[in-house]
Formats: sequence, structure tokens, C-alpha cells
Amino acid sequence: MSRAATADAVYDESGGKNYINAEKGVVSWLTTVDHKRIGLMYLVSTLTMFMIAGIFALILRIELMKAGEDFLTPAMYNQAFTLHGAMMVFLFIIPAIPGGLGNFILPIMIGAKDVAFPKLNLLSLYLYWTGSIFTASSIVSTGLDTGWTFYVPYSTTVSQTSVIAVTFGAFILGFSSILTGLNFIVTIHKLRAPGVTWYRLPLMLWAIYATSIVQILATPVLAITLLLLILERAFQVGIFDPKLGGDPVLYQHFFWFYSHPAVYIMILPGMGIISDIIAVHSHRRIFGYKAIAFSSVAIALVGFLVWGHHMFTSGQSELASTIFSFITFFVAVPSGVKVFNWTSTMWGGSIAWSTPMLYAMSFLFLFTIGGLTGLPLAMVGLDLHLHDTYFVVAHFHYVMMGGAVIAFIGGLHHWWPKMTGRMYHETPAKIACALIFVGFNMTFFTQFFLGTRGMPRRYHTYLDQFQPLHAFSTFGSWVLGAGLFLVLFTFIHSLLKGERAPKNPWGGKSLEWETSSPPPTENFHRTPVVTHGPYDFATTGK
Amino acid sequence: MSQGATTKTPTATTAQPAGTAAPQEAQYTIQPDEGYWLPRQNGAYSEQFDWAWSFYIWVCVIFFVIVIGPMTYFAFKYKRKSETEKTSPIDHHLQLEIVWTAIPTALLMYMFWVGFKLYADTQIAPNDAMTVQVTGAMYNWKFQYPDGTVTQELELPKDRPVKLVLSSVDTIHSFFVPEFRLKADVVPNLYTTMWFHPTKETDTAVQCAEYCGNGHSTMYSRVLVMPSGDAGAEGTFENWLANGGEKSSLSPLALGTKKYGQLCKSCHTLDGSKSVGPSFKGLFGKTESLADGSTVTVDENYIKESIVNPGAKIVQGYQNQMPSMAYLKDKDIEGIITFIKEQK
Ligand code: HEC
Ligand code: HEM
Ligand SMILES: [Cu+2]
Ligand SMILES: [Cu+2]
Repeated sequence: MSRAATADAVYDESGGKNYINAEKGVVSWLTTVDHKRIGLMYLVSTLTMFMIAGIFALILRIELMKAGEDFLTPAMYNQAFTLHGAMMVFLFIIPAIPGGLGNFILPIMIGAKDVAFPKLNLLSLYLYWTGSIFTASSIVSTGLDTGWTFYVPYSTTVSQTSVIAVTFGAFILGFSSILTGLNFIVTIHKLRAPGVTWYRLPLMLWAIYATSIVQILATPVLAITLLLLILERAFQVGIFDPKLGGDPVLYQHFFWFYSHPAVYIMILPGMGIISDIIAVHSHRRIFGYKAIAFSSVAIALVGFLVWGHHMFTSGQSELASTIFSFITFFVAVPSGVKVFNWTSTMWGGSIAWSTPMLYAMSFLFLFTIGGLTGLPLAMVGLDLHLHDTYFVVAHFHYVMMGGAVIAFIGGLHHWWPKMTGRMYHETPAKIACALIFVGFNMTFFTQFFLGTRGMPRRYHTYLDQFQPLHAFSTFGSWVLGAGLFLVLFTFIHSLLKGERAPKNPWGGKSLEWETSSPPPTENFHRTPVVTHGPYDFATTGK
Repeated sequence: MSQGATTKTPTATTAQPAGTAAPQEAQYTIQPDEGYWLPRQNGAYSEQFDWAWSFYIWVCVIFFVIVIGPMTYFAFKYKRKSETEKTSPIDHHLQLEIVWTAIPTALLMYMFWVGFKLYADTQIAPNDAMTVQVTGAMYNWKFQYPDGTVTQELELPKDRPVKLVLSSVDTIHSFFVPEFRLKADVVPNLYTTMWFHPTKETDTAVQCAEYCGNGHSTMYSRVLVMPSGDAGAEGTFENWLANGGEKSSLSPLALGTKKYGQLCKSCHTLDGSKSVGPSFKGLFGKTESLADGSTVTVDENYIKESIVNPGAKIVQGYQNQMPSMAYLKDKDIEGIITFIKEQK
């Protein structure tokens, strides 16, 4: 990417003051109510969790390179995959995009000074930290071996590990998530600057808005479920344990009533990021603004009615399975609509082969595979074979990592100059993107074959016939890991040595590109008045 | 039974209850197919399944090309040449939106239908299906046939529908046979079912597909499909069943030993110590005092009566807790009597 905006001199109305150097010292960060600082602290925290959970993943893959026990006992393997999954989901991907990028960018995008409830925002962060400590405490105590799903009766009667500490942690994290969602909804409704109509919101914000709805409506169900689980384990109340007259399948209904919508908490913000990256780096008006915006809302709402597709083999009634299968296909429609509109946005654009755009194209590639491999899992008959095999492991990594995480990393590059005031070096950033793309496909595409051939998930060892594919997948994870570490080094290098960023390095049209990089504490010196849409790029005319 | 018997290799031996025949050590496998994706087929259902799978793969490939083809093309064709380049003003197109909503929706409805039809076939077992009771436990599988035979591997006749009724004694497991393209969760306090119709002789692996703890990845068993035929002919399923789940005829003593291990061991010891029921040590020929004050000499008829109708004569000092095992075949009962006679 050529250093575009040479015309944009570094924006400096405030004599070098910005939100980072406005106040100094740890205390000023811990007591700040500035959404940008809170966002940054979320980013550092969630990325740390991503690294720990990622290291667990690499360890898992090394154990799986050969059949039999290599260096992890079955008990250790079970704890490692549980912590990997639970940390990736609850401590990384759910909070990372809304709490990190969302917090930073949302008020700026609507021309506000801050979110509606700045102190509540800080409370969310503290709740996140508290929940993380409970969850991560299990690493140093007795671990956790229930899988991130905490299925009963295993979690209530069999497991000897710190189920209560971790579920209590997840319970607290839920409140963090609810408060963030509430804050964002009110902010978008109430604090838009003059001229920022609903249809002038960047699509990132429609996605965040839809996500917030899901966070508010679904997370309380998780909270109740986890509380019941804790009561059951501590006092044998008899809600889920069949020996006491409870029903273990009921737990699965409760759990997935939250956790299916939760997969949209993970992916919707990623879709928002992609909409912005593609439009800005193609310098083109987004194709099908309303279709993309309303499909986010449609996904959020229909997503509440499909949880039973995780339970086709559980013993739920045939009627329920049939209905859940039917509705599930309707969630696929809006996702497809988005993908078609993104591709069309590239048509007739001026496409920069910049790092964020390369991530956006990786996203399109990987998310399309992730979405398409969800279809056979929704076809009940096919799912009877595929359920709980590596096919599912591959599918959800394509969606959560290939989709949400790739979008997140792309978004980090996209808003990095704005957040830090520094440019990063394009060459290593692109090499990292390529390594991640290749490594990811090596690791996870292999697993589709493992799954259809009958390799179940959550296995510490396996039949000899699966050996070659597992080995290949492990080699892929090394390439993937190398790519991710290169991203880290690129960012560290940028912080230490990066060039100063102009206020609008990509030639974007939404409000965040009109303030300095990094922005001042109050975001804008004067409340901006907006007279055009977020994607009003110069066109060839009608 | 050994809990969490984890071994270094996947050639895990099935845990054997004491008293049964020597464990059969062999590699578990899932026979591959020529294609890349699915294992070998067995039965009409797997053929339909594989048809649905190929249909799905083609839908997938077509959609993938429709999305990624243009994306790649545009990325090269519209690669930025100058910073001031102007771009297309076209930012919506209603007809296009309708087309790419309606066509996928129709196709998705058809996919639902394909998946549903397959599913419906798996749910309705034919009336003449043989029922086998499957019990999942940490970490082994147990199969009980209509005649009471209990085994650790599922042996089945070729060309005959089989219905499994599954339940668990502890946590949730899942019974997964890739060759049949089927799995069903095995849940405590709930009976789930599954049926299939094997049309090929096979020896294929059963794996547990619902995480159940440290032995989860070695909770193997196998499905052995053998020819159906005359009980007298060696190598048929009927012969196997008539021999109490053995490939060849067992001596009465061996059969009795096996049945004791499967059915009686939990309540009757062999060392003279008292358990739920009296010990078998020195039982045969002794004079037993009963709860009603009378006495009886333990002979063949008394043992048979105790098995078939245990409530008829209650031994003094014990409760009437023994379940009737009237379903046992004469051959099994003769074996058990021989076994008890041996416990001097
Ligand atoms: C659930 C526990 C239980 C099981 C399983 C069980 N029994 Fe018993 N059995 C008892 C009890 C209790 C008694 C004593 C009360 C009675 O006579 O009914 C008994 C009594 C007997 C007696 C009479 C013993 C005597 O001292 O006179 C015989 C013979 C016998 N069982 C045979 C068997 C055989 C053979 C099997 C396996 C096929 C078997 N039992 C399985 C509980 C059991
Ligand atoms: C660094 C790349 C990654 C690698 C190599 C990796 C690898 C793995 C492996 C080996 C498993 C265990 C599979 C099994 O035993 O069944 C697993 C499970 C899982 N992973 Fe990842 N993973 C990666 C990234 C991610 C990301 C980014 C997420 C989510 C954002 C994620 C979410 C999960 C979840 C939810 C599970 C399921 C855990 C469970 O079964 O309880 N993973 N992963
Ligand atoms: Cu779901
Ligand atoms: Cu299991």
C-alpha cells in the first residue's frame, strides 16, 4: 500500500495531546472512563488470552501428531482442550471485538465524545478481569476437564476439577457482556452527531448493534444455566442429574439456547469489520448497504430459534429435530446475502492490495467454506454421521477462526494507525497474512477428511488409520502459529519504530478518519456535522 | 471393571469382565472406501447417505466457485492503479438481491428435504428387527441379546434389520458406527434407539462420540456382521448365539463359567463368603435351610428352580432379591449347574 494520504499532514490542533499521552501513570489507566483507553485495555487483555489459549492449541496438536500417548496423559489432554476452548470463547473472541475494537471505534464513528455510560463501561472491563481470574485460576488449581460446554452429568457428578470456579467465572463474564451490549445500544440510539442518520452508520455499527441485542437477550439464559449447574454440583439439587430425577438433556437445551446465539456474538462483529474494510480499501460505495445491515439483524433474530441443531443425536424428539433443521436453513440465507454483496462491492472498485484487504479476502474464502460446511450439519440425516467428529471441529474453526479471528486481525490492521498513531510495516504484515492463510487451511481443511472418515472429536489418541492426516494437520498448525507470532512482532515493531500515521491513511470517508491519529481524549474538537454517508467515495458518475 | 483402562496404543483391548473368554486382541479399523470422504458403505441407508453427501459436495463446490471466482477476478482486474481512481457508483440492485436471496432459499429448502428424508428412514425401524440392548458405561460397551446372551462386541446377522435400544449407567456416551453412518447418544435414564440393516459381512469399529472423561478416546468396541443361517452350521450368527456368544461350541463348564461371570457374580461368591446371595462354594449336594423353616437338598432341580423362579424357596438369612432368569436356555442352565457342581 503506497502511503496514500501525504496531503493529510499529521492532524495536530491540540499541540500533540492525544488520549494516550493525555494523562500518565497506571492509575490514570485503571480509573479512566475514556472508551478508547478501555478499548485498548480490552485489546491487550483479550490478545493475551488469545496467546495463552493458542499455545494450548499448539500443545494439543503436538500430542495429536502421533497416535497413542506422547507426552500428555488423557487427563492432561482433556484439560488442555477444555481450557483452550473455554478461553478462546469466553475470554477472547466474545469480548475481543465488541469490547476492544467496538469500544474504541463506536463513539468516534458516530461523532460522540464517549459511550452513553462511561463508568458502566469501566465496570464491564473490571467484570471481565474478575471473570478471567476465576476462569484462569483453574490452570493453577485442579484444571477443568468438562469441555467448554460443561455437559451434565459429567460436570456435576464425574469431573474432579474446578467446575465451580470456572462456571462462576463465566457467570461474571456474562454480566460484563450484558453491560457492554446495553451501553452500545443506548449510545447508538442517543449519541449520534447531527447528520448521522441510521442509514449513515458504518456497517460495523449495524453489526455491533445486532450483536448487542443478542448479548442482552441470550446471556441471561447462560447466567441462569450456569447458576443451576453450580447449585447442582454443590448441593445435588436434582435439576439435571437423572439419579435425582433431573434431566441431562434439559441442560443441553439451556446451554445451546445461549451458545448458538453466542456464535453470532462472535461472528457478527467480524462481518461488520469486513464490510468496512472492503468498502474503504476498494474506495467504493458499499453494494447493498441495507441488505447487509438488515441481514445482520435477521441473523441475530433467527439465530435464537435454531439451538436444537446441536442436539440431533441427543435423544430430543424427532419433531423438534425436524423443526430445528428447517429453521437453521433460514439463517444461512442472510449470511449468503452478505457474501454476495461483499463480492459485488469489489466489482468496479479500486482495490488496494493492502494488509486489511488481504485479510478481508482471506475472510471471504474461509468464511464461505465455514458457512458451506455448516449446511450438512443442518441436514439432520447427514449430521447423524458428522456430529461430534472432526468435521465439526474443522467447521467451527473455519467460522470462528477463519471468520471472526481473521476479521478481527484485519480490523486491527485497519484501525491500528488510528489507535496507536503509528503505521506498521506492510511487508511482514502481508507475509504474516499469507502464513496464516496457508497454515490455517493445512491445519483445518485436513480435519474435514478426518471427520467424514469417522474420527470423533475430543480424542487424546486415535485409530492408526487417521495418523497421516493428523500429522499433516499438526504441521499446518506450526505454519499458522508462525504467522500469528509474526503479526505480534509486526505490531511491536510498529509501536517502537513505526512511522507516524496520518489521520486518514486509507482514504476512508467515515468519521473516525476525520480526527487525528491517535484521537484526542474528546475525539473531536468540535462536534462534527455529517452531510454524507460513510462510504461516499468519488465515483465515475451516473 | 477397570475404570479408564487407557493403553498406549489405539489397539485397546476391550475390558473383559472376569469369567468371560479370553480377550480377543485385534486392531479396530474402519474400512476405507475408494473416495476421499466417507468410509465403506454397508446397507441401503449408507448408500442413500452417500448420495446425499455427493449432492451436498456439488452444491458446495458450485457456491464456492460463484463467490471466490468473481472475488479473485475482481481483485486482479480492479487492482488499484492510482490513488485518485474513481469507482463505480452502483450501490444497489434490487433484482440481483432478490435473485441471490430466492435461489439459495429454494436450494436450501431442498437440502432440508434431503436431510429430513434420510433422517426419517433412520427413525422408523421395521417390525421384524432384532432388538439388542446396548449399555454404555465408563469405559465399555455391553450388548444384550433377546435370549439373554451378553457380549462386549456387537455380532449381527447379515441381511437382517437390527434395532438397538441404548442407555447409559453413568454419564452420557454416544454410540458411533461410521460404516453405518449413524450415531446415537447414550443417556442415563433415557432409552434412545437406532436401527440399521447390514448387507455386508464386516468387522468395523465402534467409537464413543460424546466426551465422557479419561477413557473416552479408548472406549472402542466392534460390530461383526456374519452370515445368517442354521444354528448347527459353524460360522453363522445363529450358531454363535446358540453357543452363548462364542464362535465355536463351548463345553458346558466353559459356558457355565461365562454365564456366571455375566449374570451371577455380582451376588454369589465362589469363596464361601456371604454376598447378596449365598456363596456357590460347596453348594451342590448340601442341605439348605429355608426361610419357612423347612430344608431342601440342593440338586439339579432345585438350582433350576432357583434360577427360573427364585421366589419359590427363599434361603434362610437372605432376602428375596434374586431376579428371575427364566429366559435362559436349557443349555445355559445345564452349563450353570455343571459350573456350580465344580465349586466344591
Ligand atoms: C441380584 C442378586 C442376585 C443375582 C444376580 C443372582 N442371584 Fe441367586 N440368589 C440371590 C439371593 C438374594 C438368593 C437367596 C434368596 C433366595 O433363595 O431367593 C439367591 C439364591 C440362589 C440360589 C439358592 C442358593 C442356596 O443357597 O440355596 C441359587 C442356586 C442361585 N441363587 C443361583 C443363581 C444363579 C445361577 C444366578 C445367575 C444366573 C444367580 N443366582 C443370580 C441373589 C441373586
Ligand atoms: C491457533 C490455532 C488453533 C488451533 C491449532 C486449534 C486447535 C484445536 C484443537 C486441537 C482442538 C481440540 C480438538 C479435539 O480434541 O476435539 C480445538 C478445540 C477447540 N477450539 Fe481451537 N484451535 C485454534 C484456534 C481456535 C480459535 C481462534 C478458537 C475460537 C475463537 C478456537 C475454539 C475452539 C473450541 C471452542 C474448541 C472446542 C473445545 C471443546 O471441545 O470443548 N480454536 N482447537
Ligand atoms: Cu448452533
Ligand atoms: Cu465417550
